Amino acid sequence: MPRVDRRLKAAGGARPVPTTVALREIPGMVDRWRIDPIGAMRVPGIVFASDRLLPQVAEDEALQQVVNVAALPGIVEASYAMPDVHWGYGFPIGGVAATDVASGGVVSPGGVGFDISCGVRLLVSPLLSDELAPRLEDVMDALDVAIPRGLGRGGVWHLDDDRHLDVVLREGARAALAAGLGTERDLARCEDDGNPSGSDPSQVSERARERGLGQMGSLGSGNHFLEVQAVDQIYDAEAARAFGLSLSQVCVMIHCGSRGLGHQICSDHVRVMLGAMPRYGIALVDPQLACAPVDSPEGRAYRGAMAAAANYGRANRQALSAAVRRVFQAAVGTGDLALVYDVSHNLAKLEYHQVEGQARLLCVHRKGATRALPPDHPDLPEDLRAVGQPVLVPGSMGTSSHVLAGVDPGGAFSSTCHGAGRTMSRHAATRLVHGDELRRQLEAAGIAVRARSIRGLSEEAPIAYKDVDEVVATCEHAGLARRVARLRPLGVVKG
Amino acid sequence: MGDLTRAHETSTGPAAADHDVVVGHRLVPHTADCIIEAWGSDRPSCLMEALYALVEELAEVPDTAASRLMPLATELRGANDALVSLFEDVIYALDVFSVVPVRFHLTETESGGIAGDMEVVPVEQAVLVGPVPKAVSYHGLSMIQGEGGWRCRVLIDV
Repeated sequence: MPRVDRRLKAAGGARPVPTTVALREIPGMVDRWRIDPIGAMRVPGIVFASDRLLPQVAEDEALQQVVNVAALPGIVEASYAMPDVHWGYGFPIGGVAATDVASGGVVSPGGVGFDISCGVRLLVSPLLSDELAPRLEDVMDALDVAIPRGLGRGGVWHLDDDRHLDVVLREGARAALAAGLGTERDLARCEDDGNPSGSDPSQVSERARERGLGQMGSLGSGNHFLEVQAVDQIYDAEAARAFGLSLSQVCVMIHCGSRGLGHQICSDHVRVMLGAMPRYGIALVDPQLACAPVDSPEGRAYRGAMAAAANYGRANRQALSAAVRRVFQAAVGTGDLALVYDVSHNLAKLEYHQVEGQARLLCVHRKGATRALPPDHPDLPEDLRAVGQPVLVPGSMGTSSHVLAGVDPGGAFSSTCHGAGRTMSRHAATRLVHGDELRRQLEAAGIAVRARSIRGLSEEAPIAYKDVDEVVATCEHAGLARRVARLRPLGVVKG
Repeated sequence: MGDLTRAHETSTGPAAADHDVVVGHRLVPHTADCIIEAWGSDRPSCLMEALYALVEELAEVPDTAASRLMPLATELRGANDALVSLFEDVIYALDVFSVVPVRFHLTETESGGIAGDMEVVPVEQAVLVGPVPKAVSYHGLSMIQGEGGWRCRVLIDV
């Protein structure tokens, strides 16, 4: 590709603020583009994109949001955009930004997102896809009944009262274990051992608690799902072995987050920070970027509430895993589904990273991006240390998902993509494909579908997303992660 | 809604200001979530239109469904703040009381707030047609008064 500046103009139409952002290819780097600092930007923007993905990256306001994030106080190195980046609110979805705590760096609830600790977990069964095939419809019917989703209250784990909720907010997935919903091995295969530190339930509002109390162990709606899958390609045999993955093995992937509780916490603390920003002399172009210094009263309050919501999210996925195990036990005689890993892709974490040759304590925001620790990282469990952290990348509905692993040195503060990344609005998708037709297409491809909303199906049609194979290949070429295995869907449970 | 003319759209089209109708709403494409634009002759009618758009995106409810009243009000006087407050109250009711609003009745109070109620039905009586709204974003949020009345724009996380 020639080393030329490209003027990429965000699509206009009905979208506000058509924006021109100049991207410059970085010499000697693969699939890596730079936005030079202009205006209020304190650091450059760095965009990871292949030639095929680049036009989609520039289609909406995502690049302008990369620029806006680069103005956050205390931001270091760059405002990063993963290959699956798309238009969010405040931060782009697929954005990574780290701020230096000792230099007045800020924490931004919008940099985490509404669905705090939204993430993915992958379970593997001892069954092969051929063995499951005669019972697949039975399993899907049972999951359809067992997995609460959609609108309103209801979950697989009933929390007795506010005190019980407090235990969940402090202990995360560990609290689910105490209720018989998992094993110690599950915790070892969760980011943060399923129990993020720093939780302060006193910073969780009454309204957030009310929303969370009745939704523990539920999927939600939108792009959240539970999928039965099979391993259909292995790229890295050693890592696949360490993760417990082998060809044709049946897996279950769960994508969900902290439900109404996490959303309410984000809303509450954005409001607090909007009020506090003038006191800290912070002015930003987008109010959804509201922030406060990490070590300020507002910053500490948010981080305590965020960790509480992260614990809720981990417990939620743990509770759903227990429901899946019960279904498999009843339907196919084995509920022995081992956890490969559980990752968050909406979180801010305090981590040490090298910045200009010095180890600095940073607040790393990953909004629609996944942590990807390299091999030998001390935070990895012993049995994964040689190969690096598993990264779980769901594809769009009906397409492949991927398992990646962290690499050394990696990039963007050990981060990589989180999914396929939308390219099309929900309504545009519904105009192109009807839910019933999509269901027929999926079933013709051998994929069983259990959906609460037919329109919801069409909104999540694969045509609305980037090509996930291209996204993960770009992550590999750009040195963010490496491919370990590809998973193909057998059945989808949607809200 | 009385005999006011209403316009409903669910696609990109002319900007709200181009409409010669008194009240209405439309959806503006957003890659991941949902942007609502609404307009009305006064602030309550504009807010109600925006709330109708929120519900239409979520669920369909048969005309025969039995409804009950829940209060819906805000004392916040800032236009944006009042909008966010009302939307958050509806989202809270969806999550906590498992109800879907079918009609809104809002008026301006003497103190500059918004007060009224909403008729709601149990979620079991509704057919879910879209993703559940979960939060209100400040990104691109606006609620302004112009020559023809009020207009608002709000991005909803789904």
